[in-house]
Amino acid sequence: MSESGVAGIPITMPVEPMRQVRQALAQWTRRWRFAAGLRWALGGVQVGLAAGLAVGFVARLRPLMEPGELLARTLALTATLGALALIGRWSWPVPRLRAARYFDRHLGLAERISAALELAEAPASRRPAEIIVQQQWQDAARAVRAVDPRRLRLPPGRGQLLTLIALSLGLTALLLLPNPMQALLAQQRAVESAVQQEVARIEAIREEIQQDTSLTEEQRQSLLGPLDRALEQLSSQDLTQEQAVSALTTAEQALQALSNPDAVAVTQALQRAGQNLDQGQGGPMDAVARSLSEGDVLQAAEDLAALDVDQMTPAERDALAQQLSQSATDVAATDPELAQQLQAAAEALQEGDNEAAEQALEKAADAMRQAAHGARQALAAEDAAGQMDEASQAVAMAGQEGAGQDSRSQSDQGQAGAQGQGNNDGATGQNSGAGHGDGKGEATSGQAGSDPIETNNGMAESDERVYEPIYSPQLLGESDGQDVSLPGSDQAGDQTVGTTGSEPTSGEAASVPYNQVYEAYQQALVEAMQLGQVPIGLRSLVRDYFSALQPT
Amino acid sequence: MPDLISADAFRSIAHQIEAEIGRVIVGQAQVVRHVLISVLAGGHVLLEGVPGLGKTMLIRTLAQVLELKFARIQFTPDLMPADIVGTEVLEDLDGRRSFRFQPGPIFANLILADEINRATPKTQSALLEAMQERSVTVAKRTTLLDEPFFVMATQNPIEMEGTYPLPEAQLDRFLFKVNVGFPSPSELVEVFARTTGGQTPTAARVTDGLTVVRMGALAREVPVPSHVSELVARMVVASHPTSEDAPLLVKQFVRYGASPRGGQAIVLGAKVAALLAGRYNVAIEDVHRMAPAALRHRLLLNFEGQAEGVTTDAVVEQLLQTVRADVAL
Repeated sequence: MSESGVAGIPITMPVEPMRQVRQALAQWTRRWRFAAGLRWALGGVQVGLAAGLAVGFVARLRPLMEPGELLARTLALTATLGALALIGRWSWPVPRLRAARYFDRHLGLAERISAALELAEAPASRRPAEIIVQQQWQDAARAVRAVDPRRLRLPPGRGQLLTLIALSLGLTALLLLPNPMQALLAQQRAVESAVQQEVARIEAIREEIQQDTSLTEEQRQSLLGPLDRALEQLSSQDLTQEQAVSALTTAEQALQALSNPDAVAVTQALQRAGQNLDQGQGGPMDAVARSLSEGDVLQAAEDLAALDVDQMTPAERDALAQQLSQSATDVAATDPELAQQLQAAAEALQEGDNEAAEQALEKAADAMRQAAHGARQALAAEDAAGQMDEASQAVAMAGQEGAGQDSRSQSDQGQAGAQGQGNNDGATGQNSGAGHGDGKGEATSGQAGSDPIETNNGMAESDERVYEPIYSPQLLGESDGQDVSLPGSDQAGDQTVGTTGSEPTSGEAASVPYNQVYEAYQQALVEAMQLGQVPIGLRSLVRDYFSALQPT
Repeated sequence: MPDLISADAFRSIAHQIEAEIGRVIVGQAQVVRHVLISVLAGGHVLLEGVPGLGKTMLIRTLAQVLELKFARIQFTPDLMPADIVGTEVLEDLDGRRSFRFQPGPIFANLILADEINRATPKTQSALLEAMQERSVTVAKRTTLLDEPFFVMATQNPIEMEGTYPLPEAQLDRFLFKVNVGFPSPSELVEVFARTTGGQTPTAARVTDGLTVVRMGALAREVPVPSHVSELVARMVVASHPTSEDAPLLVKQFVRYGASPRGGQAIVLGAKVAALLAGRYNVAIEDVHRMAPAALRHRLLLNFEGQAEGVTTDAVVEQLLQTVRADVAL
């Protein structure tokens, strides 16, 4: 290779030394890339571990993730960052002159390689004398040959290794030491799971309501409204347990407000009227009676509207008038308007005014349809409200279960006395509950109400509820009270349902029929539910109680 | 351009020069090295040290070894410029009177300006043209000085009364300022042995002025890697207190930093140092080795620096530590 020198004199560049230097430089650069890639990979591992450590610390301040999840994510992040750093550093371009400067310093070559490369790449006008160029390249090649490539290991720095060890130890400690946030996290997860389940439940209810053809569009929308609002609230981010329960309770209350007990009572009255008509064995209202007996008020309304008075014989019209009058009497207490129309039809028939009778029958059918729709809406609302109540309970209890399970997992102390629901008879009895100790706990008496509320207020492992003393049936007159027998429906086998010491009737039995006071009590229950006076956890119990008392 | 000498001959001659000087001068290896580098780089040297350390002896020996025409000028307060550069004298030749230029001692190859700070600034400035232009102008007539031409000045740092500190412009013309330190006890013992015996050691001639010029020409051919040049440039810039990269000592105690001649002095000195070290290119180590001698007399300390007793050597040391070459990958 020959080029122009300082004064135009051709300079012969030393080919072999140049080849040796450039070959060695390329080899060193490859080794450096690998070593630097490893160091970067370790740096990436450090960053990943540091991130895991930071997340671990945060997980001790707020419920974030479980140790296994933290470990898995940290390992994934660490591996990803390490690989990316290795690949990135390996593929990063390294200019030859910069590499030469670097190796000149780190291999003690005193700028020989970089000077030689610059000499080769410099314009001829700036090159020194040939003697210097030749000797400089020879000197650089000699220095390169004397280099021990093992000096290019570039091992990780001591500080880097120490940092790596410290981060690993710190993360291990975070993973192994008990995390006080685990209980909250388990509770949160349980709540989230419960919320998801309840969202599915609400969507199922919603679908059912949409498919219900017995509801008018207006009723459907009024029923769907609370459900949609609940779904919207439950789908929001960072939903707390309280917010979820509140959303479900609000929906329940809104649906409860739509469940009109009067409408239900009307259908019940119509059903009883149909039964009464059915007992008459025949007549023009057979179809109506049958439909009412079967609870199909809508069909009964259609049957009623289909009655053709003009086609009836006078005897049939008389019979129809009597049946209508009887039915009017049966529904008078619950639906005066329907009773009025039925009675008007009966009177028109008795007076021989068929046209007026048919008009009255049509109006009665309309009233019956309205009653049917109202009753259907009330039932659907009642059913949805009940499910909302169960949903809110499930969400509320889900959190408690999560906390209880986690606290049990972190504690080795037996809790037999608190976990079991003893069959306590009020005396100092033996613990016959389902509780069990899983450690060194001491089983105590299963006295109901003898334990503090805090210890008895959670769910036992058997999922049996432990009554709090304040909700336990108490003797109104303490131990001196007397049993009071309520006649109820005057049927044999009535049981004692209460005890009083006030003796309001001076030993005589209560005279108000049970089936007459029931609706008032049920209305009071509905109001209490709507006002939130009944604890969420006990609503189902109270509702079941009243359902059991419902007169047949 | 003179013919280049080979690099091996360069090293051989330089080492012989050092060896011959070592026969007379005990120790002071760094001083001898810096003076030799300065000579081979074609620069002037300011030697600073207390009396009796061999400054004059060193320069005289150097002149003997290089077989250079040597002149010693003892600077005193009453020394006049004409005493240095020469003067026109009236000459009567065959009845015809005419002025004839009588050259002063400056017309030599190696000038020893002894205790240069004892002369007045006017006299000191008489050296300016000679040092920079290598010529002398007397009575509107300019006379070129012979090559090589070196000025080796000495000054005493402790006897400051009755002295005239060198102006910055003149200081800047010295390639290096070399501090001559006190010898160690063992060196003193050797000095006693050599100077109090019956025979006084003498140095033999090693080379001549022309060879010195050829050696200087070779040194100027030594390549400087671009990042090393950048390092020198950044050091010079950072020596100014207004520079963003100036280290703390510079910002606090320096009134004015090094001139571009400072950078040139470093590079020239580093080129010679590289050849002396057996290399054919300038390395960062060469720059670090030359920087103190090249910069210490070019940094002007402010009042606070002088009051605090800060030395320019300390400032240069911090410059070397803070301004680093860009060799990262």
